[in-house]
Amino acid sequence: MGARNWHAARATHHKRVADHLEPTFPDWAAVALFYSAMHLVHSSLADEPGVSKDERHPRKHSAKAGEEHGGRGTNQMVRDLYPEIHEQYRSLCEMSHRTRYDMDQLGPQAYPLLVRQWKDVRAFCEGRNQGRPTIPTQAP
Amino acid sequence: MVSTENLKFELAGRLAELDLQTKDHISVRWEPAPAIVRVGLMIGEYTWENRMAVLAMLLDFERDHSDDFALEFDIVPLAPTQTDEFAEA
Repeated sequence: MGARNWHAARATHHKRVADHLEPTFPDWAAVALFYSAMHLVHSSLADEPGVSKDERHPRKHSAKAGEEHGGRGTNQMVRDLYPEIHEQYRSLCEMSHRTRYDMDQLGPQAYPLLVRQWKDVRAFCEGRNQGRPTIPTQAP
Repeated sequence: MVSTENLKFELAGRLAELDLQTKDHISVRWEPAPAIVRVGLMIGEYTWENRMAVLAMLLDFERDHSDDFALEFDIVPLAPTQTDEFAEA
């Protein structure tokens, strides 16, 4: 299993966790939903041509460009390479920090809106992955 | 030259342009070594629409400074941060 498929499988797993939690614990479901989105993004970054190994496999959520920072973080890779889903992805990321405290205040529509953002991320990443050659994980 | 005060001033201006008609408070932490700016943006009327408007503003702010730093942020309802319970948590 290559990196793309591994991340895609993790994305599916985390979405199943989110679906399981949502009826009773939508705040924690939002955390799993974000990590599903993160793995969807990583499934696409893993085979992104013209990108260094460190940036195809980001180890941080946020990092400025540059070797001294280990390459851009996932947030900055989405900003620069996938602007179509940048807002949705950062919304999911932000809510995964805040959900334990604040999501209740946004009302019952908040979780469905987050799911809509997750679906945008999924559609974009799955489209990006279609028919694209894989890049070996250790390639520079 | 990045400084906490400069960043806070710029963010206050960008927030005012959104004209959210709500109280707000901004906290900024600048970490020069990893080149990360951490922003806490508290808004009085914490709704999905206001949250997304602030989020879009913060993403524009980060994009405009992408040569200088990466941004991490929280968008927080203002009221709970002003209680004793929050201060002691």
